[in-house]
Amino acid sequence: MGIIGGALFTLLTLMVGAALTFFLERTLTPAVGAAQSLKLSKDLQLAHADRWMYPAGPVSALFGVTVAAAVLPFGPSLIGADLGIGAFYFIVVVDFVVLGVALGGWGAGTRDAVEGFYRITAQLVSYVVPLGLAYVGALMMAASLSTTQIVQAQRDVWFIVLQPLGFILYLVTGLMQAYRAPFYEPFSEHLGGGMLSVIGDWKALALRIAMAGLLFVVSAMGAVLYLGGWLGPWLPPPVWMLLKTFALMALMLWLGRRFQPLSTAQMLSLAWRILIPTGLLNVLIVGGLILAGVGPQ
Amino acid sequence: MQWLAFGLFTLLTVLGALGMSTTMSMFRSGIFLMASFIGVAGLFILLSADLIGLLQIMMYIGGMLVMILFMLLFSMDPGGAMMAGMKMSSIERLFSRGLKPQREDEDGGHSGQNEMNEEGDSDEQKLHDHATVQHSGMKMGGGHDHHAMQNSDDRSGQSEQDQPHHGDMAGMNMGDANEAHNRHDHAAMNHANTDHGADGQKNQEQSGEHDQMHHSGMDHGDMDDMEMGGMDMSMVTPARPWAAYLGLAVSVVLVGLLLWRPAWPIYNGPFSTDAPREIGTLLMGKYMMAFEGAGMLILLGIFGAVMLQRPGSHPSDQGRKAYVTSEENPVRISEDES
Repeated sequence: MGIIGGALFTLLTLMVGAALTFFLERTLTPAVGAAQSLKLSKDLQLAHADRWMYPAGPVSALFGVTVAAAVLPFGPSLIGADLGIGAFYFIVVVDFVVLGVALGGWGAGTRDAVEGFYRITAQLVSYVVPLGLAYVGALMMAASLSTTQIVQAQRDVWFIVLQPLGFILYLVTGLMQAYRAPFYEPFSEHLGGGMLSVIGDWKALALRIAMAGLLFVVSAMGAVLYLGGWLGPWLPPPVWMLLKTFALMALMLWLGRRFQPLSTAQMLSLAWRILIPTGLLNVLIVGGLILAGVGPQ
Repeated sequence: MQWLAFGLFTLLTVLGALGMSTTMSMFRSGIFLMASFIGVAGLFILLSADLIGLLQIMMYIGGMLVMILFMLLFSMDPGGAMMAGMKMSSIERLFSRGLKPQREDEDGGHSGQNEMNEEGDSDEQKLHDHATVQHSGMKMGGGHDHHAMQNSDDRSGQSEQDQPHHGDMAGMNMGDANEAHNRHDHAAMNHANTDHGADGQKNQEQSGEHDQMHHSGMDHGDMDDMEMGGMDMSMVTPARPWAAYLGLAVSVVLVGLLLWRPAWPIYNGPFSTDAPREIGTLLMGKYMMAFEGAGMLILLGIFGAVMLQRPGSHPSDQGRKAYVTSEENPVRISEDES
């Protein structure tokens, strides 16, 4: 697909994915944290909103998920843009989403929203290294950063079979990245919803799409990394990809609801004391497997 | 098309840098720096160095966000509310649009983005905490320390159920970083009432700032004093014209080089767009020692940071229990106001 085709495909992916995610979440889980529905009609006139940063937040978040959806492969050549560095690019552009919610938090200027900004940044600090380590196992076996190559490398056996520890790590860090239970502290009732309680109008719509889209792209990337992407016997590849994405999303949401919501301090502690050593152990194990000849050649 | 992209990214870079240096809000300054580096990343991508471009974006988004976070914890007016009401030059005003100036008649809880006033009644505590962090010897900080030290002495023989209360009172500190600093200063004051010399010097440097903090926190009606007879309070230092001229001179040199096109030596190796493979090969081959050495240094740095933040071993130090709140969910902020 050329540039225009790729761009349109990316937008289609995002819209379909975000819409399906929104409805799936609403039926499966109670709406807390980042999944809560926003009042689109009411836009509070905030007395101390930063007039540039506050609207920039949801725009940046929506931008982040849209360009992230460009590297999700739905078939052997059905991808928005097959970048040679697809997986790394994905991690980087999802940072734009974090930037977006952070700007929205600060920009709103209310006490709760600014506190949300602090906790969002702390959550970024906590999830980013374990997330990288969760990717690294799959990248080592695939010997490439390109998402289509990663899927092709799972032709014989999916990586979830070879790297279960990495998969569990991806579940946890994916939830942390997507601000869903049990990691939704910056948007929780402790902070009165943070920025979500004051945002309205087009900003709320953009943010809601971005939050739904974020869960979708994180789950889709998990399906690419660990569940073999579009590979599968009878159904067409895009259907497999969507099935795997939503299965992984349901698993993440279900598992997340089993646990008490964590405070930001607990998230930091969890990430730096448990998840990073787990990730390093995973890298060690995967390295051993590769040396032993297991996995794609 | 390439020239258009180049022009856009260059404009983003230069305007970002300009905005960073002229805006009145420190938060916006950090964001402008981020935008400027994203422009540079775009230039990298135009040069087919996509991996380096993305690395640039990744480091600067994450890095700037965390830098801004720590800046907010320690700075006086990160939102620019206090500076927004003052006279500034037109370019400063351009990049500071949309900042609400702090009003004199408004109370502590409602005054703009001002960091001290962000938390309403707990801004007193916040000031105290800043004072405690920065000037261990100052009277205000000392006052707060006495108060808290008394609490801690009372508490030394008490049961666990008072612990959350103490945590709540101290919980008016926003964020664990502040608490850590607070407790460390208690510890420091407990067994080292020394270094008044050093503190005195710090006090000297920062007493101006502290006075301003004190001033603005306690007495909003005196905002007029800062604008004494139309004196320009914008953030201009005597060095800024020199910086501007230096920048102009460097720009002239660069543009001259561009136009003159001297014969630089050019590396004649094969051009590969598979950057990760090239970098990986180099890091694991030719530069393995440097790579491993850098990793070892980072690891030592991490160990050092962990060591540095450990609680002290003095008997009167309350230890981790005093400042780690990971067992309890944070209290809703509005309920902290009493």
